[in-house]
Amino acid sequence: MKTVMIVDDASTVRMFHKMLVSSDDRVVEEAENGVEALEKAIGTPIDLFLVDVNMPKMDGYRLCKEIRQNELLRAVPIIMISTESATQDAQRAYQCGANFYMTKPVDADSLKSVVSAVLGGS
Amino acid sequence: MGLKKKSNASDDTVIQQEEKRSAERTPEQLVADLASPDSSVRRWAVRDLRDEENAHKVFLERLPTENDPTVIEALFSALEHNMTDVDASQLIGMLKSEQVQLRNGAIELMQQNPDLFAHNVHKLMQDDDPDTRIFCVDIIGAVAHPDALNWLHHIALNDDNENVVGTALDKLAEVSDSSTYDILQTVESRFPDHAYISFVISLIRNQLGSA
Repeated sequence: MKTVMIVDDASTVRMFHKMLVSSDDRVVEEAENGVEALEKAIGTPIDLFLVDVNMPKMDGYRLCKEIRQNELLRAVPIIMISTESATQDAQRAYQCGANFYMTKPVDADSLKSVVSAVLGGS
Repeated sequence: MGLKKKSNASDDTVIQQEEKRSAERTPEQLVADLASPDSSVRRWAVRDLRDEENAHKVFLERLPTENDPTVIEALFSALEHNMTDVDASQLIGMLKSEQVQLRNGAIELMQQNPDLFAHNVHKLMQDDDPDTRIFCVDIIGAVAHPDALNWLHHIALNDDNENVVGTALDKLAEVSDSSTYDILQTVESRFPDHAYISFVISLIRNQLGSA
């Protein structure tokens, strides 16, 4: 069983992404911001982070950096999802440690493919 | 013993700080203190300046260059009372900041001042930058203002950016009433192939249907 953590301050976005990435062999955890994501990730082994950029308390860029500096989490893949489509935004995400950068609105098939490529399975 | 020692040290610190603060400083000196390399001096300056005339102007000028999170917090806290239209206009500009603490502080202050936000909402809804319009929607979603629902409807019906409309629908999923039902079909027809917008619209319809 693989665990995906969806980090987004909008509950409807979390529900939508959860619907897209859920499968029989995956568990989905949710967090409203970076602070909550880190707190939850300490107690639950995470296999993939799906991270929004603009969030209160701790934004996606900062969360990415925190994950990469954390002994337990640094190897976990991160997909960043943002409304910002400029090249420098993607570059910033990669500099912070993201493995993939996708812009909203996320194409459902693309997201499913990337998640499957990272985790394997459906 | 350890506890007592710690307590004494703490008392000493408090006494030192009180002594430091009891030294009389003019408002001009306090303004100069805002640029001190010592963040605790800057924090005390914010605290001691907050009741001075023009303090808000000085604080708003300081915010974009301040880099200590605790001082930024103190600055926003000092701005909470007696906000003016001029203050609000400057805060609106911070929605474009790359610094998340500045953006979030500005959003929170706007949420606490619904009438001042209302004076600026139309300008924000027409901002060229979709991200600024998304922050505007975030504020609308949390602000206690009688026009909030109408603003969300207006954005969902008129904004051309799918992410701005998607965010407006996120908020409508939380605050919609029966008047929202009428606009959903129009919004859906504006973005017929948009999976997320269709998803949220169907969610709102279900909520309204079961209400």
